[in-house]
Order: sequence, then structure tokens, then C-alpha cells
Amino acid sequence: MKDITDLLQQMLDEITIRFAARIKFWNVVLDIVEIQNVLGGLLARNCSLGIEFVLSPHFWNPLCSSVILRAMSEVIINMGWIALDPAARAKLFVDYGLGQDKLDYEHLRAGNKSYTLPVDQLAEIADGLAAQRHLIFTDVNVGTWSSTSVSRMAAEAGLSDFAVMFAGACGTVHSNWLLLHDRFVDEPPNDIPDVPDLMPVKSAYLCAVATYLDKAFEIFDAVCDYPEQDEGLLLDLVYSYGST
Amino acid sequence: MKVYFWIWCIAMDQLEDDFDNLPNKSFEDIISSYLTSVHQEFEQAREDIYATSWKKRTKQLLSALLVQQVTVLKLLGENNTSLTATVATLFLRIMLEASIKIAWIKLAPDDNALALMKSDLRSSEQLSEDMQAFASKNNIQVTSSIAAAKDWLDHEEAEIGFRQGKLKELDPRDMALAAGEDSMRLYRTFYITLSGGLHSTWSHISRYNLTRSLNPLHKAVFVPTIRCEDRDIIFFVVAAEIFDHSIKTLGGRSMQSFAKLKEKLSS
Repeated sequence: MKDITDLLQQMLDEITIRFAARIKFWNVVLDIVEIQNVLGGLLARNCSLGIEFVLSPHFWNPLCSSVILRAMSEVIINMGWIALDPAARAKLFVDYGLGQDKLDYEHLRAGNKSYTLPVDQLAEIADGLAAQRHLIFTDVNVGTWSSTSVSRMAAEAGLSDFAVMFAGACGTVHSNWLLLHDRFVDEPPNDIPDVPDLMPVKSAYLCAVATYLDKAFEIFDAVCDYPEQDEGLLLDLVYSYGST
Repeated sequence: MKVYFWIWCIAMDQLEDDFDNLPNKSFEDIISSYLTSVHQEFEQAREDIYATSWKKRTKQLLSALLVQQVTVLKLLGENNTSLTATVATLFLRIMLEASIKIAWIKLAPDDNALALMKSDLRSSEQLSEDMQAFASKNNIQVTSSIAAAKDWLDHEEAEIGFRQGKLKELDPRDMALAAGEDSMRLYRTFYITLSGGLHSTWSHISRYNLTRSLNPLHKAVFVPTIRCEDRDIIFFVVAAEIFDHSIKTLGGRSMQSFAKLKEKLSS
């Protein structure tokens, strides 16, 4: 069997090369720059998460992999849903984020946080926010950015399988009792929860990461008409390691 | 400009600058000593929980929430690569929600723990059914973990009857509001920022996955960038602050681990 470090290095190279090629291909077009920023930024986010996962074997356990894979699947569902109506939905995505930044800033200004800042630093933050959109023109939306649920977005975009993966990992993020019990409580009489000495790692999680990255590239390629390449799937790369 | 608009980072910048001058060895030592102290703090808190007359499940849930927090703290402290905005925000968001849950349970321990468990079990059952449907649709053999979960859910139904009755609406903001000023302050300090990382919102990606183009023809528009940053101690400090809130909420017998950590890092 090959050394796993060869596979990891190959994955890191492939993710970086594929991402860079796509960003270079979809040159900045000022008329659609918001769409490019949102879809490109989400692709970059998924690649960053994928790279951090590949680089860090201590994440290859059920707890950490659930958290990272959930974030990756949400990015894919967001990308797929935005891709159906890029101009309108990319705007919704940006509007919501700017509104959240404004709300966070207002909490800071009102002294609602566990730290405070001098006036000049507050002004610096306000200027930073205004560089994207002036604060008085920024609405705060306290609901969801898309005004619909993740599962509905996924169904609309033909990504229901990813919604199941997403929901499966939600228990970890929200500290669901079933998972807490499963991970930290032994059978009686030793049923007082305790910190595990170590969490078993499985390289099989790399298959999931590769699948999620392949899907993110596929969605991005469809939107920007990226020409078909002879690059193969990242998942096949992982499988080829397992079969040798 | 080092800090653009991701707000709380500015407040942390001074602290961060102080850390930049720390020799690496002492940085590792400080974290290691903090983790030892945290483990003692956790054991003390768990002992206090088990000394109460609360129901066994309440004690288990509160202890398990603490265990999860200590596990994440260890993960962040012992692995350099975890302390990056790309991934640390995800784990900190878990800690934050768990800490708010602890504070909310403390208001009426047995009743609130039961309400949380019922809600969790109801959603676990729904998920189990969805997973089974997904498995049949894709011709995948149902894994043993789904079958085991179903057995456990039936067992829990016999114990606490989670399948009957109306569930309480449980939202982190409402729980923090009910739990009091300290919890609400913690919520307002970190929730938006950490949720931005968890859900990969524009707030997060515009700061971490987009940079300004240097091409003068592009009028300084954003360009997507893969971001793999150096580790940043600030994420560990935030984790310690959240854990400190949990410990204080539970008993007020804090061993001051967080205060000592801040003191050591700034001295």
C-alpha cells in the first residue's frame, strides 16, 4: 500500500490547482461581480475546509468530521440554490451577511458585548462596513438568508442527498442528547460522562471530503461554463489509493 | 488594514499583538498548564452536579455537555492546525450553544433537561427515518448504527415518553435571554461571528475567502482565495471564555483558570 502522505499531498495539489484554474478562467466581469464573489467565495470556503481536513488527521473522527462535513454540505446546498437564479440569490446572500455585520457592530456600539472599544476603533469598523454598503442602507434580517429551509433549498437544487448528510451532522453541532450519550457515556455502572482519552480516526472520511469538493466544482463549472477537463474526480483519486 | 470589518477581532488585536512576541515554547506551556487546570475544574463541576438531588438524566446531560466542551478545548489546544478561522469558528460555535444550554438547564434542571432531551430525541427519530429512506432509495444496506439508534430511541421512549406531547420551542437566543445577563452577553459577543463561520455566510467568506484584486482595471473588486492561515491564539482564548461561562453557571466554584490564562498571556 502507498504511503498515505502521498495521497494527502496529491489531494492538496489537486484542490489548489483546480480552484486556481477556475478562478483564472472566470475573469472578473464587473456586471456580474457579485455572483462571481459569492460563488467563488463559497467555492474557496469549501476548498479551504477540505484542505484543513486533509492536513489534519486529528479531525478524522466522528465528532470533528461531522462538524466540518456539515459546513461543506451547507456550502454546496447554498451554491446549488444560488446557481438556479444567480443574480437575485447572490444579492440575498450578500444582503444577509452585511445585515449580520451591522447587527454585530450595533451590539458592540451599544456596549452589549463582553468587551468595549474606543470611539476611533468603532469608527474604523463603521468605515470598513460602509466600504461595502453604507450602514443606513443595510437592512438587518434576523431570519434565514434565503427565507427557506436548507432541505427545501436542497430539494429545489436537486441536492437532497446532501441535505440528508447535512441533517445527519446537525446533531453534533447542536449537542444532541443521542450523540452526547453515544460518544461520552458508557454502559452502567460506568455511566458518568467522561472525556475520551482519544478519538479513533478513520481515513475513510477523505472519501466524503472528496465527494463534497467534486460537487462544489461541478456546480461552479456549470455556472461559469468551465470547459470540460480530463482531470477526473477527487473521489477516484482517493479510491485509487485504497485499491493499491 | 489588518482588521477589515469582522468586528470582535479588532478588540482582540491588542491581545494578539502581545502574543506575537511570546516565544513558542512558553505559548505551548501556557496552554498545557491551562488544560490541566481545566480538567480539574471540569472534574470539580461534575462532582458538584452529581452531589445534587437532580435526576440521573439531568446529571448525565449536564456532565456530557461539559465533557464535549473539554474535548473541544483539548482539540483546539493540542493541535496547532485547529486554531484557524476556517475551522475553529465551527468548534467554538458548538461550545457556545452548549454553554447557553447549560445555563438554561440550570434555571429548572430536571424540567429543562427533560425538555431538551425530548426535543433532541424527536429530531433524532426523524433523522433516523430520513436516513433509512435515503438508504433504501440508494440501495444501501442500513448500517448498524442506524439500527442501534432505533433500539436506543425505543428504550428512551419507554423511559421518558418523548414521542408524546407538544415540544417546547428551544432557540439559543431565547435560552440565553431566559438564563440571564451573563448568558445574553456571551451570546451577543460571539453568536453572530461564530454562526457566520458555521453557515459560511457572506460575513465570513468576505473576510476569509476573498481578497482585494491588485489589478487596477478591476477597481479593487474581491477575488476568491483559498485561505489557510497560521494558527491564532485568539480562538483558544474565546474557547476558554465560553468554558468559563459554563463553569461559573454551574456552581460558582470556578478555579479561575480563564483569569489565570489571560493573566499569563498578557504578562
